[in-house]
Amino acid sequence: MLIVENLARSFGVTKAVDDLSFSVQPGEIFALLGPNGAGKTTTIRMILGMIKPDKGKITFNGHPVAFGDVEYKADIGYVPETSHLYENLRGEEYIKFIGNLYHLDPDRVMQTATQMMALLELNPNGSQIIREYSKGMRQKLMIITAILHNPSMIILDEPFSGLDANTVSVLKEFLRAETRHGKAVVFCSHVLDVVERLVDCMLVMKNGHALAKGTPSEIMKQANAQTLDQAFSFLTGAKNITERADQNARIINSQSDRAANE
Amino acid sequence: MLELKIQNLSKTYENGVEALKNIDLTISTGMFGLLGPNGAGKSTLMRTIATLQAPDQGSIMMGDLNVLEQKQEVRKILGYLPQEFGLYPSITAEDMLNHFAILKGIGDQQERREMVAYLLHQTDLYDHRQKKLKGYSGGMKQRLGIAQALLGNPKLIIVDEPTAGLDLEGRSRFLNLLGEIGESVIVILSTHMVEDVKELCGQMAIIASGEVLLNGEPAKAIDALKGKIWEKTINKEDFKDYKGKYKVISTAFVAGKPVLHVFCDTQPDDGFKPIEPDLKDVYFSHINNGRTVI
Amino acid sequence: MNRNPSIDLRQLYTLVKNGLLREWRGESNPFSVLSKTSSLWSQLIMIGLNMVLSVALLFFFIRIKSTLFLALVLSGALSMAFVGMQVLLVFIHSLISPDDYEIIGPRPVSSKTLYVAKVLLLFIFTGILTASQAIIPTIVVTIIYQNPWLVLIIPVVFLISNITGASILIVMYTLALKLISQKRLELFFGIIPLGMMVIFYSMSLLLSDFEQLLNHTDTSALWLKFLPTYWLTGWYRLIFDGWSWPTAVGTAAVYLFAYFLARSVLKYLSPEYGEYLSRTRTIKEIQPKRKIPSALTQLWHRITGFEDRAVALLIKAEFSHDNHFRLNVLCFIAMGIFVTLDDGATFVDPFIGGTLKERMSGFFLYWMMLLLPMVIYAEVLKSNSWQGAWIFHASPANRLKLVTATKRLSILFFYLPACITLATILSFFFHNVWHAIAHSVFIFVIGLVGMTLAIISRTRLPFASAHANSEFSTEIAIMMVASFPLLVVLFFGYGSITGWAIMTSVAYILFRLLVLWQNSRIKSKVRHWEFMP
Repeated sequence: MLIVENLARSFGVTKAVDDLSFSVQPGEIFALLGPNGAGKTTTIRMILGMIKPDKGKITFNGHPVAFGDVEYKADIGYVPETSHLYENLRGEEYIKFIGNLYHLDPDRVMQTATQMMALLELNPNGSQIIREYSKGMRQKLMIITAILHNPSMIILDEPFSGLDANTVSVLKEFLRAETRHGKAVVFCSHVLDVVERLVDCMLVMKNGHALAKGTPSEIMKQANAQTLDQAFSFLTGAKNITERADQNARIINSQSDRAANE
Repeated sequence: MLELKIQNLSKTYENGVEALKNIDLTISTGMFGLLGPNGAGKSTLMRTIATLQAPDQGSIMMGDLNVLEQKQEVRKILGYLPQEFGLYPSITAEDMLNHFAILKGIGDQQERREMVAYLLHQTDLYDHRQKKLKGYSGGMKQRLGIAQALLGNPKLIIVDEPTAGLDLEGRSRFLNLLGEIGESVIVILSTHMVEDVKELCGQMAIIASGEVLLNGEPAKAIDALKGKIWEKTINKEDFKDYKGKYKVISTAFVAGKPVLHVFCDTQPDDGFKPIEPDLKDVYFSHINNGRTVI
Repeated sequence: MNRNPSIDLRQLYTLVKNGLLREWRGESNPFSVLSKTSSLWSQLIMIGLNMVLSVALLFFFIRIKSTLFLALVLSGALSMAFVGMQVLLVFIHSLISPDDYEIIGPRPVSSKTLYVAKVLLLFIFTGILTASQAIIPTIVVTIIYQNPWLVLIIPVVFLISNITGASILIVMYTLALKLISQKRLELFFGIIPLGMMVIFYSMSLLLSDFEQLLNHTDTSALWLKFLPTYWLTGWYRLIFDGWSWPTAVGTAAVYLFAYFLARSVLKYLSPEYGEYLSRTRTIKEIQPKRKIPSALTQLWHRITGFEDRAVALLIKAEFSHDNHFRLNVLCFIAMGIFVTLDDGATFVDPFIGGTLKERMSGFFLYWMMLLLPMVIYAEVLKSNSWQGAWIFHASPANRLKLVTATKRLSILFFYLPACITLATILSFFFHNVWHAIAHSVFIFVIGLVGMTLAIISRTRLPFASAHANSEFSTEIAIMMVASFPLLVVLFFGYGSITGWAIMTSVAYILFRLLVLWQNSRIKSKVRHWEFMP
């Protein structure tokens, strides 16, 4: 469904993405993993045509995609990491707004939205504008508007952030159901426990490069790790987190003890 | 040992919503995890303990301190990070922490400066300390919220969804920090992430619709489910039937097929195999179930 | 050292300092949003306006009536209203805010400390405004009247009036909060500066009538006795004009009322009230859904495209909930109307004829109406939620259509109603509806030209840019270039129906040609647009 070949993009002297290649099959859940600054969001934005790659090729559903093309976007749904929305709109208005951008029939839009709102338990009161929504409510609204147009690929950046365990469960189930209908799901997440149980294939990135690619068990084997957490830490070089955190906590505690003793 | 005793706490809002119904909890030092779906009453409970709102009935005692009556004394030893953390957009991070430190009673300028600097380092905000808060990203605001909650050697720390918006490293750093501090302090962690509770909390409660459904140690809660959680991979078409027949507490998918976790005292049918329960099973089995006290 | 254990001086100092710092940085100042350059400038403009207004008022009243007392009463009354309005609009969030309770609530700050901090802030805010009003009049009037007591009297009169005025407005605000939510009240506040503009403009129009009224007024006039400042300055008459029981009783009664008013205001500055506001804010409003007739909806869907409907939703939402956007757009339209009212009186219908001067007297009106659609369009490009524009880049929406929809809807929602209003006013001045319509049509068409030029120079998506400095430099540049052709049109071509028809047709053809250029420019630009938050 999606083929990315030798994708690259720099911002000034910084190579945000460098020679990245991967593919996503229909019916597959694919994860892009990496620490902050790895290039995940830049990669996604290039796939969506939001920024122009310096080089590389993107093919979607068998057709090459050039920067500036818009038609293929009708078949992709996107949930960005930060819930930037037009905050003066009410939830229902934002759904209609998105429906218009995707050239959808208004009645069908509201029908789909109503079902999804019930599924994800999003029940704002009539007069609330998005500015008054909690983090979880915004996230749910973003997810609903990403699937209104029945895309064949859904890209989600940190989709579980701000959601309670029940809703995370429902969303996972929903994404799985989508893949059973032949859709592809691409997502970035820091919640490796969810990644491990949900994804079919993943790519670990750092500093714009791919470090490892494969199924979760392949990645763990590659990193000689028992859990995905360990594999991720090993691959990205973040193995000193615990020691650093311990050291910092000791500093805080000794400071507090000193204050208490004085 | 310091203990927080909540007895018979109830709260009904003016629009008729019963946010808390006769809550009884005893929380000792260490990490206490509060799990529950949206609208369960977690935030109401947190806000009541944090002296921001008054219940209709009940009492909260922290040692000899009456939390509902002696609010000022409680606030001196309280660190609170709400889910929606309010900021002054035109103030810098350093000035804001300094302001809060003065309000907390940290009078000595040198001590205050050192404390603020350490907390800024700890939350990786030191390089952004002179930036006005309106320019802060969501993750940065969250980290600042954590920093202000840790000001002044609090004995009671209440954090509501503290790891939302943090990346893996940030979350790891914060949870380790809380884990260390929690040894001599009561830390109440309200979270949606069952993993955080599993990793950190020696005690927990599950709350839904204003009621405590489970209260006790995670390990004991898991033990109580031993031999009662069954797993089976089924066909997609049979999903509805199984849902109607058994108490399905969660569903996962492997290779496109639903894998059911079912709660049952005995083997439901031949195809089910017993599995070692985990905290997620505990959570999901209680959300639509009755109360369990361990 | 802290003698009273319930007021922590260090906390008090930091609370007051924090409040002043935030106000100085324009955190809640709606005027600061009009100039994103710097809230310092907004503060200075506000202080400057106060100074100018108070001096102008005081000397106006002295010129009319030589009685200083009367001048103090009248200028004190107006200053009271003005300061009260400023306290309500600018400083209210530092004084009464549920957000403050959420932030300060869990911290060990005693009620008394917080309360005293708020009272101090109220006095400081009112004091700054009073000082800006009273300084120059005090100095000048003292010199003119050669009375050293005036150094004390004038500031005291202004201060008491201003505190009373602020108190009245604060009490009204808190009463309004019982009836409507703070959110809706703040939407209403967004229109108040516009209302003040209208009032000032109307005052300037009615100045000569007011002057006549005052010429027939002395201190015994009945209407004066309804002004609070008449009684708040009663002690001045008692000292300098001699004892009078009615004056003494009336003055005492008003001071007693002011005392009880101040006490109730102080109650609203308490943390308990902040907690009440915070609590009541969490109760959600349930609003019944308004039913739009399906026939209208169907018509709307028939005449508009998807992109039009998407942009229309945004414009409606921003206008309803963004004070900055609404205020700017309404202020520009109001200015156009004011200029029309001003110029229209001297502007002779060009079809009737008249001297060159009379024909040219409409120049500023035409110039203003050419600028108006451009600045409205510039406003529609900006939003505080501009980062939400990622959706335009991630969706298959036609970006050419989004830009042209923005233009069309800005005209439909704002510029066309402004031109219709213009036509109505002109028909009143010209006493000929058809002539007024004809001139308004020409103005409408040149407005379209202006807007198309604005799009060509600033091709962007709607509500997709952050607010920035130097916001209207492009528009001003276009206007400077357009001034000369406009002068030529008015001077040469406009004095007859034929001339009007030729000029309007030329303008329309120019508009169509510019649209072709506009579309080709948009097409070439959209292919290169990236989204870089």
